[in-house]
Amino acid sequence: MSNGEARAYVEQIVAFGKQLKPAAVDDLDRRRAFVEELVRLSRDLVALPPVPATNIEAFRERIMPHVDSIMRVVAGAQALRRRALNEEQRAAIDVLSVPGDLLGLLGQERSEVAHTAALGAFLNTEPRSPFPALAQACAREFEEVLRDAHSRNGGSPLPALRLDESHVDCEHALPTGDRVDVVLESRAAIVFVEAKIDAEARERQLDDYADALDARAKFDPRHRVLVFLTVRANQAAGTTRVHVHVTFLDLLRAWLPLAAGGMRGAHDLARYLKTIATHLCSIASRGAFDEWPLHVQRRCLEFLEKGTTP
Amino acid sequence: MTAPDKVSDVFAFVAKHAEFTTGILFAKDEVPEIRPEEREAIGAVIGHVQASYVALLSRCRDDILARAQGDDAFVATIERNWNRDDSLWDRGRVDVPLLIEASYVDVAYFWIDQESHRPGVLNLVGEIWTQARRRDALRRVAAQCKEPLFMSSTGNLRMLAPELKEGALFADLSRTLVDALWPRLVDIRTALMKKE
Repeated sequence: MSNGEARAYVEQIVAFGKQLKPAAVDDLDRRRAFVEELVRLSRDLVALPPVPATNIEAFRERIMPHVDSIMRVVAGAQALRRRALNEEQRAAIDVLSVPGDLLGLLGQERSEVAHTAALGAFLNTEPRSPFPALAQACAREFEEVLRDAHSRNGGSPLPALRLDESHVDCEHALPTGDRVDVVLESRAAIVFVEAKIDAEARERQLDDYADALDARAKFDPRHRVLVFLTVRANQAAGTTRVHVHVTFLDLLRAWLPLAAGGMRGAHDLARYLKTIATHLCSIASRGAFDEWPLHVQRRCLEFLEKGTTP
Repeated sequence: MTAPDKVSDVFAFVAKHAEFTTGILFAKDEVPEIRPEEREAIGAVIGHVQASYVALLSRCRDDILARAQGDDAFVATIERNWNRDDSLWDRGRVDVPLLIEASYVDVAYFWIDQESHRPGVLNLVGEIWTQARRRDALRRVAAQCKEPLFMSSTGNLRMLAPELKEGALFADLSRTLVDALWPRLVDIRTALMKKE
C-alpha cells in the first residue's frame, strides 16, 4: 500500500468513525451495522504487518543440516532446568504427569457443564460429598484466589467468606430461568460463579446475576460475591457491576499442591487438574512430562518457575 | 513480496520437523539455549514461513467461500468473520464460522498440526468443531457417512491434505482437502441449523 493509498484509507476510516453519533450508540442495530461496516473496511487493508527481512539461505546453511543437534541441546537444557526445580515444583510435575485426564477421557475436556460439575465436586464440603476434607482445602484455596484477584483489581479487601464450610449447587436455577454454573453458600457468604470456556458471556448475563444477588440482600445479610471464571484472563465480562475475575490458571496454581498431597481424593483432583492444564491452559500434554512436546514442557516450566505462562 | 503459491524446500523442512517447528521456530517465548547465529537464521526465515502459512490457509478459506456461493447466509457469516492475515498467523489457524448464535459459535478451521499416523510431521488439516454440548449433531452426521471419517481425540471431525512435500502447489493441497471436507461441512451445518 502506497503512502497515498494509506492516507486515503485513514481518511475514510476517520470520516466513517464520525458517522456514529453519541445518540446512535444506544441503538443496537445501528451499532451492529457500524461494526459490520468497520469489518468490511478492515478487509480492504490487505497489507501484511511488517515481517523481518527474509534470508532463507542462512536457514538452509545453519539450521537444516544441524536440526538434530539443535534439538538435543534444547532438550538437554530443559532437562537441567527441570532438575533445578524445588520439591514442590517437582511434585506439581508429577501431578501433571498422571496418565489420564478426568474430562478428556469422556470427550468433555472443554465442556462448561462438565467443568462445572467437577468444580462442584471438589468444592462441596458437605459430609456426604465424595471428599469433604479435600473439598475444605480446595475451598480455602479458592477463597484465597478470589481474595487475591479482588485486591489485584483494586477492590476493598473481601471479608472472610468461610467457603471451607459451604455447600455447593451446580446449574443453580434462578427465578428468571437463568442457571448459575456454581453457587457456594456458607454461613458468611453466597458466591455465584459463572464459568466460560468456549463462549462469551451473553449480553447482561452477569448484570442479571448481580441483580439476583442484590435481590437476596433484602432478606439475607450474608456477603455476596459474583465470580467470572474464564480460560482467558482478558475475556470481557460485559458488566460494570462488581465482580471478581479469576482464571482456570489461577485455580490450577492454587490446587496443584493439594493434588500432590495425600488427602483422600487427591488422585481424582490430579486427574481434573490434568484436564485444566492440558486442554485449557496448554501447559501439559498426554502422558508423563518426558513425553510432552518441548514447547509444552517449556510452558510448564515457565508456569512453575514464575507462576505465569508465556 | 509475492505470496508463495507452492511448498518451498524450507516450508517442507518446517513441516517435516514438527518438534523443531513448534518448539523453537514458532516459540513465542525466548529459547536461550540456541546460539546467536542460529537465532538469527531462524528470525530471518520466519517471514517466508509466515507468508507460506498465510497463503496456504487463506487458499483453503477462499476455496470454502467459493463453494459457499449461492448460500447467502453462509457467505455473509464467513465474510463478517474474516480473519486478517496477522490474526491468522498469531492464532495459527483460519476460521470459517458455520453458525453463530448469541452464546456459541460452530466453526470449521484450517491449520497445520500433527496427526497420530504421521508422527513428528506437520500436516495441513481441516477440522469441524462444535461446542461439546452441540457435538451430537456432528456425531450423527459422521455415523451416517459411508466413507470412513477421522474424529480427533477432542471430538472434532478432521481431514488431512496430502503431505506438504517440496513443490506441491497450495491450490492442489487446498482443493484436495476442501473436496473431502465440503460435503461433511454442508451436512453438519444443516444438522446444526435444524437443531436450533
